[in-house]
Amino acid sequence: MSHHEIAAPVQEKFLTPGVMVMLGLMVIGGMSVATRFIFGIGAVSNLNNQYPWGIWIGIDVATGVALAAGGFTTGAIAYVFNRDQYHAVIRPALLTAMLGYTFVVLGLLVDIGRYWNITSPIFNHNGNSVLFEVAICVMIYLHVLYFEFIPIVTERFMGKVNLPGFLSGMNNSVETILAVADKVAAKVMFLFIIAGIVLSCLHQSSLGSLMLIAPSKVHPLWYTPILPLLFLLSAFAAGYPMVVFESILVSKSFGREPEMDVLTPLAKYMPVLMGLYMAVKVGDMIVRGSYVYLLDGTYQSNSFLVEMIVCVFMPFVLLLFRRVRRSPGLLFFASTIFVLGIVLNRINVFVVAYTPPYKLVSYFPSVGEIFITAGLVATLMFTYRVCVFIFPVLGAHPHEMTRKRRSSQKASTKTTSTVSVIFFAVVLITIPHSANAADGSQKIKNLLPLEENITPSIADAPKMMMINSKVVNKYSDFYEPVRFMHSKHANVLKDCSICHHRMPREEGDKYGEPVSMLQLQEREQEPVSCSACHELPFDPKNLHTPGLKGAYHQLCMDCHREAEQVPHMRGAIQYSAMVRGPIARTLDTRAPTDCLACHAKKVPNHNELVKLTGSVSPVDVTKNCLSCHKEEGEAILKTSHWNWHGPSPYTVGHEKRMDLGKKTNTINNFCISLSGNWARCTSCHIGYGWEDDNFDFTDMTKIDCLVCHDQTGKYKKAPPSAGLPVKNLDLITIAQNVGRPSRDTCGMNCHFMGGGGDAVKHGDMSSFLSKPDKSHDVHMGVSGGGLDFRCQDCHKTRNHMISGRSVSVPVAEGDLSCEYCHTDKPHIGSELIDHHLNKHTAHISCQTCHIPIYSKKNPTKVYWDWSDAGKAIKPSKDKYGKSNFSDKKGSFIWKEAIKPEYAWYNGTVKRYIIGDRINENGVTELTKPVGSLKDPSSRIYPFKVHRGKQISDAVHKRLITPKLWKGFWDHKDWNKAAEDGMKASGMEYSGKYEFVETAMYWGLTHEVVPKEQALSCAECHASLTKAPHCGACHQERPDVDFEALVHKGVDFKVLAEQGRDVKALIGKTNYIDYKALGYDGDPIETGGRFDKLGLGIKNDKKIPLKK
Amino acid sequence: MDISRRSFFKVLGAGGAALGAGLGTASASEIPTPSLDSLGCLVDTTLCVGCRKCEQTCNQRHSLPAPDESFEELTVLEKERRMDETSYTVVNKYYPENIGTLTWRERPTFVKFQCMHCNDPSCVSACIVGALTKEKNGAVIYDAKKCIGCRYCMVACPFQVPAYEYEKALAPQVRKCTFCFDYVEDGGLPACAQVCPREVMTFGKKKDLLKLAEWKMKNNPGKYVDHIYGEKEVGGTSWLYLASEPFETIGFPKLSHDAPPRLTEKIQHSLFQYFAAPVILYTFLGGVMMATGFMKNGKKDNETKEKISQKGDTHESS
Repeated sequence: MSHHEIAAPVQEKFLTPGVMVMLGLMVIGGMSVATRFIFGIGAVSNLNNQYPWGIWIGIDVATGVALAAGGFTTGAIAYVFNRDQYHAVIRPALLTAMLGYTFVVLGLLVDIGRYWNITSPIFNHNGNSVLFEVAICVMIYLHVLYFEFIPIVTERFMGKVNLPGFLSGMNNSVETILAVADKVAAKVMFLFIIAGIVLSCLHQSSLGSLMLIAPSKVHPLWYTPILPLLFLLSAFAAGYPMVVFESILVSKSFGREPEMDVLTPLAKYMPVLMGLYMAVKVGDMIVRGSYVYLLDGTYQSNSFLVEMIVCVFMPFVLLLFRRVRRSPGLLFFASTIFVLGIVLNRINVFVVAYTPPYKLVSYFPSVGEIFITAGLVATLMFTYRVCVFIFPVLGAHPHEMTRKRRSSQKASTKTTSTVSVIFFAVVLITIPHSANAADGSQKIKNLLPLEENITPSIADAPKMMMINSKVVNKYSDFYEPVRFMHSKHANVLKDCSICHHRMPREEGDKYGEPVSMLQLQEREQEPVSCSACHELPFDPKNLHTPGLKGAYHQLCMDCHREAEQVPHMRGAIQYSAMVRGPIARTLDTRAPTDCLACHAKKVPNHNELVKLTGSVSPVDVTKNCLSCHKEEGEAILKTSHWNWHGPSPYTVGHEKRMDLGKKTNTINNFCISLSGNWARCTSCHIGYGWEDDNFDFTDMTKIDCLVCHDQTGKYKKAPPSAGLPVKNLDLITIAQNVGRPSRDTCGMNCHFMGGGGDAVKHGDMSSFLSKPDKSHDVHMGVSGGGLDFRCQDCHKTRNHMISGRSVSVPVAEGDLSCEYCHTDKPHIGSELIDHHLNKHTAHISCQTCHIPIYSKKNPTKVYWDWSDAGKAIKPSKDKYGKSNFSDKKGSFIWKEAIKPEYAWYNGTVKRYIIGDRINENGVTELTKPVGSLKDPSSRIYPFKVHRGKQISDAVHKRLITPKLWKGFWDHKDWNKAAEDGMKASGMEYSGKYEFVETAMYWGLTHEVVPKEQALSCAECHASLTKAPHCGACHQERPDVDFEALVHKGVDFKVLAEQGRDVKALIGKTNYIDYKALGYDGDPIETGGRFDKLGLGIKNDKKIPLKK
Repeated sequence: MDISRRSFFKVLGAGGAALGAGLGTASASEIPTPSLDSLGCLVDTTLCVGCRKCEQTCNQRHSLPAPDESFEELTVLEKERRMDETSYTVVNKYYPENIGTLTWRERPTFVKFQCMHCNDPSCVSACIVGALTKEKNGAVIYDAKKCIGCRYCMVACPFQVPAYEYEKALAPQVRKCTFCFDYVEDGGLPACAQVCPREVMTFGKKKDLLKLAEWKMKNNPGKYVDHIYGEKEVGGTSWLYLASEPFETIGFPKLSHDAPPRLTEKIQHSLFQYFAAPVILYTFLGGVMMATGFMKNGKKDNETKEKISQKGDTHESS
């Protein structure tokens, strides 16, 4: 081919204002590209997991390829169909295609995340991948384009090679190479021209196939199986308009006469190709019926309408007119609109039509993406300009415009380009707006009378089961074993077959048969254990049988259903059958649903986690703990264990206060008060260094984590050191072995030792609870079948707030009562008396019968006379070996195995607050349970009452808070102790003191005896000790010994033989003293507090509350 | 330029062969026959309580970055989430439509999402370099060494599963559930199925799972909607779902039963079968070229009326 004569390098001024703008865009784009390569795609783009492809693919790649179609379409017309007249436009089209594809690859390098791996497709083939085909095609085509450009290079340089300086010696060899290249190129060029067209057809269409893989994600207006054909046809149609657009633009740019002699004939093919594209596209839309989306008003349909009507139909119609084809301005306008239409189509298919199934964020190109795209386009245009200045690409004999023509031409092209730019801007602006708008849218009666004869019976059920299966732990071991209260559940459900729902029919039968309680009892068969059927999960032969872990959780959580997990979203509240009766409130009645309510998280081994070396102080240990457990530290700061005051919802008259507590304003008749006595009293505080009133309660580093979490049993607090531990402890080892609190940490470190010694204060807690047997405490018993509970198994803890109620102290951080586990109908398994016993629960607390005596093993103080302190009395030892006098503290009375005092109690307490006036006419009660016979919510509770005499202001008639520690105990001067102490409490002291009698009630809830040792019927009801016993109402039954039945319970004779100090209680009846409680006598005989009772009513003066 | 007719065909043929060789990597389409012996999971969404243990264990097993909020924080379920580069599985909570009304008594539905491990995965078909592969045991796994980071898999995935490390400048990867491929190959369990306290997921052979799903539906009349999601969607998936609510209301896209790769691979392979189409086009163009006298070079055709035949179209124009 030799058309040397028709093209030549441009010789004009290179730098124009337009070029400066391009350079500016290139610099900004370059900086954005640098950002993308240094900080990643996420740093510059809005691409995300919903929209993996954006404008980089839609514009840089897809549009780039489409607009480079001019290359192969002109190649086809000029060479294949051999229309020589078009040779004038072939070189610019070729250059555009070559640069276009080069920049497609550059654009891809920006878009693909692992750009260094871009050659991977050459080695790793996936013949199924459309993208693979596109990649290989584009790669080959790019090389074809470069080859096709060779003649232009040889033409420019052949015979003109004149290398500078020392390279000039190579001039000849370069010439030779050029000559050879020219010759070879000339011989085989036709091959490359055809190959170029074939390759273009292949990848232009395949580019359309790309989105076919995502039918559910591409809007139906664009998704069609013929998308590849549409892409091919639109590429055909885009080729000539692109040539026209470019040619006229270049002409205008260089002030030349538009090559209308070439462009006008070329333009006549344009409506043919556009019409074909439009016909196929509209036909496809009609066939698929996707036109229903056309007018739905979404940004997608609007974009489609713009694409089709404005950018295809309009230019198609325009170009049918010869006048349009002949006018440079109108031809340019029509061509530009169609070119923009192709741009819009590609953006539509790849970006606008893309609808991710889960749209959490929307996509609009970021500034960075736009800068990079604009930068690439500017660079392309700049390179084009450079090339036309160097190589013979553009026409060699341009017709200079006449001045007049030029200005009018200029005006018309200006108008059309302005119109085009405005149109494009409008499209760009409307798409995001509509995109944003669219985002807005998106039993049976027992067959036998006594259940002792029934198998199975709930009474035979195990009390508690430790669910700690190796099968469960094999696959997940996050949690400690579950303490499953089996009898509690059995009691409530009353039907074993609710949980033990199926039974294997024979050995190895995994599916089994459904069973009912009746069947079980008829067959005298015990239900099988869960693990009889449920083992490891996913047994291929028994996929319908969940594994053991799954079975437990599925069954349990059918009742313990989600309700609590999201505080503001209370679903169907499952009222728990576990808690009923007057004391139950809504919050308590929900079956626990969170993981931690059933099993505690396993404490990880802290050996590796505690990073402490050398000699460390207790505060260093805490700081180390806080490095991971800051939240726990913050939680501690809010607890009453830390603050020694807190909410007092059950203290009458102070229900809404938050400040009641030892720290502030409560007083007792042991060591009286905290004020002034800090370092001694605060040796039980869970902190370090509370020595005076200035302790910083916001300093987390002062928290003593180890006192509760020590597992070694070695950690001890030094008695008078304000909470600091004893010296020379191996704190690191202790810290490395932390775990959940135990009875030893809660009890032995503090609560068993209340009052400064074993069992001094609490009547129901002593060091004996560390390892008791079942007969001492059923819950805490570690031997004899006790349940071995830890404190927190009952005292449920959340955020270090520990539930439980006390009479002696005002603070409560969560309710707790026996009924939480045992319900208000706790008696099961003995049908004859269950009914009677369960009627008691409305009037008598569980503790009354089940804690018949307190301080069973360790004597407790019941009387303390401070007025003897400092007197010269000779101490002597009582029968328990306890001293009855101390020079510092006065005289005491100790007692063991004591019958409690009983009182009506509705859960609230009257409490003496420091500053209150004393009872001048009798005993001042520091704590007193509130309740009365006539109050339905009151029940009879057992109490330890600690009595004594303590110092009081003789003038102001209020109790004094004497300074004992480093005060009275040193100088024995009550006056000075009172003065210093009252000063510390911030109260006025008159200077005159007296000793007044006080009493303090202490609730009894621990040391619960097994049911066999609870009070018997006869011990309270004298009426039942006489014949015919139950026979007064019940018919004689040969199988029941009524006398034995009423005496079933604690036998003090046996206890006395065992060495307990209970001789006085043997044979006692009217144990709880009815008259003292307000009854006329034994309610069986005189009537209950609200109802007439049974037979033999002698006294019916009482007016029943019920009608 | 003077080229004889003979040499034209010679060179043309050689060129065609070269073109064929260049694209000679496209192999015949293998239609994957979904093996019912492959493994999968049946997710019974009625059992899920949204404890997020699966998310936690998955995160630990795959050493994914720790989340901002702990896995014990259940309020995150109030917002719809999707898997991302730091999480291979998420649990979402879907409230019934009549929430907030007096008739509302139902529990929300919790749905665990992860890669569905399609029988005929779009991502595998789409992947330009075969970095994603469908394994015999059913898992769809990813090989970062081959990956070029084009994210076409993300475009292709009908479930929007693969996620990309956009914030990494160096060696970003596509991240998605691996079905714990290595563990399962060694006879282990996927982390999520292993830890799930309620056994929401049943892990087993797909044929057994389908039977189990049917068994569950038959034995719990009225409990489930009559649809095993994943049995047929996009040609079937390794993960199957049962639910008591219509799947469209609990975050599942409504999808055709056709596997998208069947269409694209059909187009691709019919176009490239024996390289017929390119070769025919090549020969045709060569023929036209010869007929229009390109070889005779320079012979000017000055007729104003000319016949342009392109793709067999003839058009008359002035």
